[in-house]
Amino acid sequence: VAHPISRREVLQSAACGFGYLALAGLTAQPAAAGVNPLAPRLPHFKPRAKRIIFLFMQGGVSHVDSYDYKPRLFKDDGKTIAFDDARAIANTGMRGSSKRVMKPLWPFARHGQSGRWASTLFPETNKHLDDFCFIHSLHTEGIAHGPATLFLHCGSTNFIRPSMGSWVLYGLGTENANLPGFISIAPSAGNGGPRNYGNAFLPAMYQGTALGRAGGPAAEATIRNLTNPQLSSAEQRRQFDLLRELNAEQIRQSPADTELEAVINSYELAWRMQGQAPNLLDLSKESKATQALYGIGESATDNFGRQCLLARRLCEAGVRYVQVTYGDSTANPAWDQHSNMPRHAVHARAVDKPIAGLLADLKQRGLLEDTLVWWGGEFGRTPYAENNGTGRDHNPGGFTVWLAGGGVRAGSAHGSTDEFGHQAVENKVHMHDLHATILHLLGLDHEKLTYNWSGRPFRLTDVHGQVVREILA
Amino acid sequence: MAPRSIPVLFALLVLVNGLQAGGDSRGIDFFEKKIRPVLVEHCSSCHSKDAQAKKKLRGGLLVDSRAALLKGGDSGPAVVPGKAQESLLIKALQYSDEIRMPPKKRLPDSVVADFVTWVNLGAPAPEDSTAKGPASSAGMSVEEGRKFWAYQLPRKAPPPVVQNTAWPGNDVDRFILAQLEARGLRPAPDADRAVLARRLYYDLIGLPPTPEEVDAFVQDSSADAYEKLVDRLLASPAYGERWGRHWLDVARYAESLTLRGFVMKEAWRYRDYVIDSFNADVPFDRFIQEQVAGDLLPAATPAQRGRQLIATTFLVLGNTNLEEQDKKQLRMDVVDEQLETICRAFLAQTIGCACCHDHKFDPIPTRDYYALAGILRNARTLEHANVSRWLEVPLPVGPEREAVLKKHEEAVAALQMRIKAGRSGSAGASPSPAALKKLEDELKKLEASGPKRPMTMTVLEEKEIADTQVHIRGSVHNLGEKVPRGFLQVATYGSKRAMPANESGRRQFAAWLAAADNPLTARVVVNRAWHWLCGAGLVRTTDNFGTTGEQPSHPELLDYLAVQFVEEGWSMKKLVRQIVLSHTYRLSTAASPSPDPENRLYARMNRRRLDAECIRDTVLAVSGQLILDRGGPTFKADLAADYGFRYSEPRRSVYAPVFRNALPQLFEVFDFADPSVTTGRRNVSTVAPQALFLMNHPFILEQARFAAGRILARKDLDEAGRIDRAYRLALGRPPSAAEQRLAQSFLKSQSADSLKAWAMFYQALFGSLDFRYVN
Repeated sequence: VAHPISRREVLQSAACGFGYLALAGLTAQPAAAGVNPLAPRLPHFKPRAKRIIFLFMQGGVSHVDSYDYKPRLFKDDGKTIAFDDARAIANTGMRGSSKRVMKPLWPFARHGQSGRWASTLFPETNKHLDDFCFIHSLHTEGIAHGPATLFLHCGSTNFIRPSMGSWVLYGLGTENANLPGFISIAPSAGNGGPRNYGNAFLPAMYQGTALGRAGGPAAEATIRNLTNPQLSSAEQRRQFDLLRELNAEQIRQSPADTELEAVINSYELAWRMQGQAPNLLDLSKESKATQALYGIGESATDNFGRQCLLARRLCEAGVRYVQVTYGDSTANPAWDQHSNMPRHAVHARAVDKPIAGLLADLKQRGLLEDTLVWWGGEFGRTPYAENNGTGRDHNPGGFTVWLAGGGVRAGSAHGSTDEFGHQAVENKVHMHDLHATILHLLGLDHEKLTYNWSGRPFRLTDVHGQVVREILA
Repeated sequence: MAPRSIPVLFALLVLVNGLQAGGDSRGIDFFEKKIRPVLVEHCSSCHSKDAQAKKKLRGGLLVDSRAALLKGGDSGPAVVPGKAQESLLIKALQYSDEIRMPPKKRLPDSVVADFVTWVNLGAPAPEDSTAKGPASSAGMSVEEGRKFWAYQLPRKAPPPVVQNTAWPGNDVDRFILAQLEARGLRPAPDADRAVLARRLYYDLIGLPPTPEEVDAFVQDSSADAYEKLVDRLLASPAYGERWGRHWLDVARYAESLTLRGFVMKEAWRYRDYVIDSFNADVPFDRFIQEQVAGDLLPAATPAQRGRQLIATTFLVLGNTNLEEQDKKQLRMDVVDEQLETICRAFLAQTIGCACCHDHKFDPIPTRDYYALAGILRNARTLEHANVSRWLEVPLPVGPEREAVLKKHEEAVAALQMRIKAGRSGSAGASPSPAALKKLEDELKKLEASGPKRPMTMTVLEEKEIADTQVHIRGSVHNLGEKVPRGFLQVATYGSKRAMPANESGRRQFAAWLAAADNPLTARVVVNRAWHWLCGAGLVRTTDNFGTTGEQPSHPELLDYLAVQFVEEGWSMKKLVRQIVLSHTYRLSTAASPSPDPENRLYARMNRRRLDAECIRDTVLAVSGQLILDRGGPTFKADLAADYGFRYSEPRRSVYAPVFRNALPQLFEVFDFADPSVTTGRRNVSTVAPQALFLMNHPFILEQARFAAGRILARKDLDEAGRIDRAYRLALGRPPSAAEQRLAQSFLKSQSADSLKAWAMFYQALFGSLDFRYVN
């Protein structure tokens, strides 16, 4: 079922911002079903996951150095071979560029019961390999970061489209009326910036809420304007009472005006958020053991560890879609090792323990069963050296992501790239297909999740996308 | 692999068995053995009538008959009998081109070889006499479209006769009242004069009236007091700032790109051009043409030429991904964006659909899309590189200035020559390194200190003027037939305009957009004005006059205003004046139970929320900090990226740089227009982040403190007098007795620090309902 929302409905209920349910409680009137666009909605079918954490490895992790094991790269290391380089094709149409094969910098081994291959790049995370569902045959659009990052988040390289989290929130609503339903922790300002968590033409209530910024300290990851920098809480209480009284006088002129009531309610919600959200965002509430699990307190992992722990707390509190970005706002973000592959180790060190900690923590709390964890970048990297140097260029033609938790086949691998790990060849999964599959896991039919704008229905997957049924548990 | 479909298999069997053989039996055997099973297993789930019935047909291609394969799909014939290497089907199977089939995995070499053999044999297969091509996917035909209201020429009917002849103030009211009377409804009472003043100030200039200005109007008992106020506000330069900003929403105006936060240093000239155009009441048809083709229009003076060049910045403001590596694709992305913007802004048409297929709902065939695209493809918007770049050209200057610039440029050139010669030693004895360094320093200094040519963003005509081809399914790598440049057929009346062979056709396009016999343009403009003044358009979907948009509530009024607008020379000020002078505009917003809860009939005025700019400008006006400087650049020229930019100048909001990665928080939370798409109608949301902003953001706290200091400086007023004034400054009205009591008791309870107490009080006023809404 699509959810067309009329402007009128939006006006009536936007009213309620992200706090409609609580407001309904306040006004002692039960919320009429279907009135509030942010109320939890029934999915199209039974969901396998209720919420999602997307760990965005910005810049493009090298799949051939991490999870896509290709013996041929060791064998042919240093040989010059003709490859269909995506950048060369886009720039000049030229196929068959001569490139020097570069072997992985980290040795591979099989892991766990499932015996999946992984390199030593992520040693801690490797302990959870039996929970992973690898997709080795992902391919996407956009050769540069800007287009590919937008495609990853919004399903389009250039046109202004809603981001995936906005679609999910639009489709499913939120479970915690006192919090935003879609939160992006430490998003990058670059490569599409706010568009990557923007609502575009969907109503504003579906936009992502940014906490902090990419590369910034985790301490900055908070909801904006949550505290008053000047007034004591007693003073603010008195001022809030005054505001209530002023508004009560003013609304007397327009009794039973739903829009004005909505404004008043938005203040009540803000007031409650101000009281409650800081607790939720306060990681010191967690035990030392839990903090240590995420690598908090160790200099290399402290920042990303805090962000991952925050993600778990938000999920636990009912936030539907949480994205955590490991990246920055530059034109060559984090994992973008064009000329210096060994630097991958620095980034891997920063995220490895936090991710392993997050998985362990979700598991021990029973959250992994209905939480989908998605790890990946906007593209992979080439199996050959860039400009005959020591780095690798972008590779949108074939790369690896992994999913874990709600509804995916644990310990499995789907699809494959060619023997060099360059192009996806078997059971190819386009980014549109991945989007369709993730929506499916959340109980949404990507072809039915539509919104009418500019004279026609739009969806996340445009006119594409097929659910990859083989990876469903 | 998709589950195999039994019905398809069955259909193919029937089809094959029930028809006469169309080739020799050896060929047919080959087909039966080697080809048909593969088609059924690997192709039919997306390319068969069965798939079509399930709406799973891809690319318009059917493989369940020979005829269908010869006919092919959207990309043309799939099979050319006897010529395997010219057959798209073979290319797709070989994975040698853009289209690669089956999409999941290339078939084994032996199977592909069978297909090559089969096609080279002449593609023998049982003929399918029943095969009919896929049903036409076209939506409304152009002829049918002509029956839809928006594509018919507007007609100016005489205003209807009304019963209550005393009520109408002008013709607008006769159209409104006639509908009300027809439903047995009566217009609301008139708005209170102070309320009307506040409404008019915000609507015409976007600023609150001072208490003195309200008093002056309320006390002016002359018959034309209201007209005088309207004319004074229309003549104020603040009018252009308010109305220009409306247009900037439509023009998706911004000063940076999301990608890498690139700052467009010269975009402000376009903003000022828009503001100036509204203030000078440039005829709107002229205004349209300048933005689409100003660079090609004749100009009498360098100033006029400059103005027209700046106007074309409009074409360059799209939020483009300059990093796109496929430059063919990027070039077309730019054209698509320009077309989408032009058609939404001026015609309220959603043309984007027709980029890939005939519009499903509106009478816009794909050919029309590429007829227009051909025109814009002849305009160069970007200079391509790894990261492409928009174009900037020098603005023409007067002769005196030109002489100064020339002199400076010659001096620079001469110095550069000397340095070059010195380095190469070609001018006899080489100067010492020290002397050379001195020259270089001199050059640097000269360049830094000398006058600079003003630049503007614009487009240039391509060297080669051409028509373009249909892009099949919107793909730049799959071109179809060539389409002569032209316009939307359904909206074209009168004689055909010929396209010049040596010019892009933008001038003709612009003239067609702004023509009196374009059925859409004038209607779209007057509807926008109505929306901006009344809070809801006569057609509420201001950017969509297609069949999926809403119908006009008062079609005759819309036509009347549109025709009159054209007759009176496309004057926006006259139009605005006519609407605000109507009795309808002056009604109270007080709602009473009504059979028309959405107020489609305008029995009352719509209450409206202050937009982001008005909220900010009013806070600054109340605090006494607002600076009314006009125009000019508003950030430093050396700013490279917009990330983290904060605007702290207390100038009007229209001058806050519109940075796509760094919109002011206040703009973000209060529904400022998305600067990447045409916005004729902003969202109006009510969410908690707005409340948090007003409760805790430093800007509000700081301005409340300024406002407090300002009111406390009024030693001539006692506490009650100050409260009265604060209300009048912030809300445009005096406090009620109850409000006066509330305020006094609050201030008393906080008396230890009166500045702080007043700041807290002002902040509460800024947060109150009557501040945020205009009645």
